[in-house]
Amino acid sequence: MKMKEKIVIIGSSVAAISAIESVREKDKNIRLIVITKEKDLFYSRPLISYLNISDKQFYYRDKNFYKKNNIELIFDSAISVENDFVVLRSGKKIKYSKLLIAVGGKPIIPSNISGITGKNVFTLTTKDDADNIKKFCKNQKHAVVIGCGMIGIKAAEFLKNLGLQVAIVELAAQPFASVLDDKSGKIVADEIKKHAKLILNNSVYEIKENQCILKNGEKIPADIVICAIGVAPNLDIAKKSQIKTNRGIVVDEFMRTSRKNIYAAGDCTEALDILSGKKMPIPIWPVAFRQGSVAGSSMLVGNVKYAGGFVRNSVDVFGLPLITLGLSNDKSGEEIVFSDEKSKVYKKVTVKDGKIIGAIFVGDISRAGIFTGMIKDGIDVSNFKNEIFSENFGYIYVPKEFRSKEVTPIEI
Amino acid sequence: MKKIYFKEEYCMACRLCEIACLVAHSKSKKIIKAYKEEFPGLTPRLIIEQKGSLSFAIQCRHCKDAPCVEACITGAMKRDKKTGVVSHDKEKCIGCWMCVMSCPFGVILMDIKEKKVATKCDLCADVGSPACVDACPNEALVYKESEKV
Ligand SMILES: Cc1cc2nc3c(=O)[nH]c(=O)nc-3n(C[C@H](O)[C@H](O)[C@H](O)COP(=O)(O)OP(=O)(O)OC[C@H]3O[C@@H](n4cnc5c(N)ncnc54)[C@H](O)[C@@H]3O)c2cc1C
Repeated sequence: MKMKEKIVIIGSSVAAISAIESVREKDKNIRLIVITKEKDLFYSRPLISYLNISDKQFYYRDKNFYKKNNIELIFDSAISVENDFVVLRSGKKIKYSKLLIAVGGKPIIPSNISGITGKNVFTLTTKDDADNIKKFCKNQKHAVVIGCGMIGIKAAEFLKNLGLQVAIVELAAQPFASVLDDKSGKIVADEIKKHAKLILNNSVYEIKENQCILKNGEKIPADIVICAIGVAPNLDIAKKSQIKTNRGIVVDEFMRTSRKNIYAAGDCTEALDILSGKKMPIPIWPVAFRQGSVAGSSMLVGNVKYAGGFVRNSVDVFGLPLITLGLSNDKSGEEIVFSDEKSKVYKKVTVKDGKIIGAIFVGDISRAGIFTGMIKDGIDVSNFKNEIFSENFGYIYVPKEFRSKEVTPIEI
Repeated sequence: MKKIYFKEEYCMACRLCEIACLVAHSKSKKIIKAYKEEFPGLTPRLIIEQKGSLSFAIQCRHCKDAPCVEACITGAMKRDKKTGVVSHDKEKCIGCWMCVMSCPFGVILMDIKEKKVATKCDLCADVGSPACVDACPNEALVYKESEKV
């Protein structure tokens, strides 16, 4: 690239950081400008609800990161893209030769709950949210969390650690309804119930200053409400800038959007899901990291492809470890199950057409990554599927052709 | 960079590498003392796998696009671009197990003795050469240069 060329990145979270690292690995000189509307940089979004962690843990890159990488920072909100410049809220316009949109997701706020815009209602996706909740919770007693997914659980733990009594209201019949099956859902629900009130098959109908009224008429005390029903890709800029969107900003395998020289990465996109073969948003950290890295190199050389991803997560539910991979609650495959009710261990791998399409690990998550690898590589497990939960199971089951590539001296 | 490789055809599953690894990562670095004082709490950084007559010891592969580094939400897992070594900073780690979920070799272990942290092969950074390789009587584990960094 010529010297006068410059890369502009909107957003400064993990997709952006990984794009910067990938650009700087190849080009120390090209101008890099980051536009961010958050004051606080490099904090780990998944950690906003943790109370007892050090700054060293909370900030995943050191304070000099921008200086070291020679980044020009602009604290402003990007509004839209016109021709080849980004329009900022302040009215300023920033010219780019390559633009990366890494604006993440936005919490979904249901419009059908009356009182949802009240002062006692919060979402939990930014450091500011967490700080505001902390402030608001002083001297409060009762909290209600709407939604029992990943963020809902983190919110419940957060409120509990702040000293409140927590009730979680979930529409589905079990926690993490999209990824847990009945059995694992029950183990997880039982664990949650030791720490919070769990109200399933119900929803909040109305929020008042000190209580929530549920769909079935029940009233529960609520000094504070956290709405955690999910996040959706942030399409604000894309929609104003004639960039093709669907559920997320549509990108190809080089993270290119429909508009020339504009790329997108992270929670705002919809990219290839290898399990369905379709494009869809996969709003998780490792996907944002990988997409950011691909976008970074695409903006310079354009020869690294995003191979696609799939949903996966690791959550600690009040001390109970839980990992789900892929289509973990898909009922169309053959299920291989290990369960030990006494020790609260439940593990399941779902196999379809010889391949693993999903897995659930509750209570014992050790070496779960082997399955992540097998899903990613589409390894045929037909010959050993019944041994998956045997004591000797491990990487050794990965077919030799595959294995030898990984463990003999070649870069992987 | 130099990496540890296994030759499965030479491995006899004698588990000497595992003991060497435990001792190398103990406080005293002395086998009897380590077992007496720390034993149930010692976590080896490698895993010995066996299936029929086949066996090998496997530890962190120091991958280039390391899935554990991508997944790490604290930046505890890092890859040094110059040396290629993937290292783990215990003090940054919060034990979220995103790395455990991500490692396709299943070689990131959970150390829950004191606080919950991930743990993995560090190539015996503080000793110089990997103890498991030194201990292997059959040269099933070798420590050598990989082709690229
Ligand atoms: C409470 C919580 C817990 C989570 N836990 C996990 C977990 O355990 N594991 C996991 O894999 N994932 C987890 N996630 C999801 C994970 O945090 C996201 O997948 C990841 O942060 C996505 O990164 P990103 O860079 O795409 O976007 P984001 O992290 O959402 O960042 C986008 C950035 O862009 C900025 N921005 C937006 N619009 C503009 C604009 N117009 N102008 C300028 N800047 C703008 C925003 O302020 C923000 O800083 C969690 C999320 C939350 C909220």
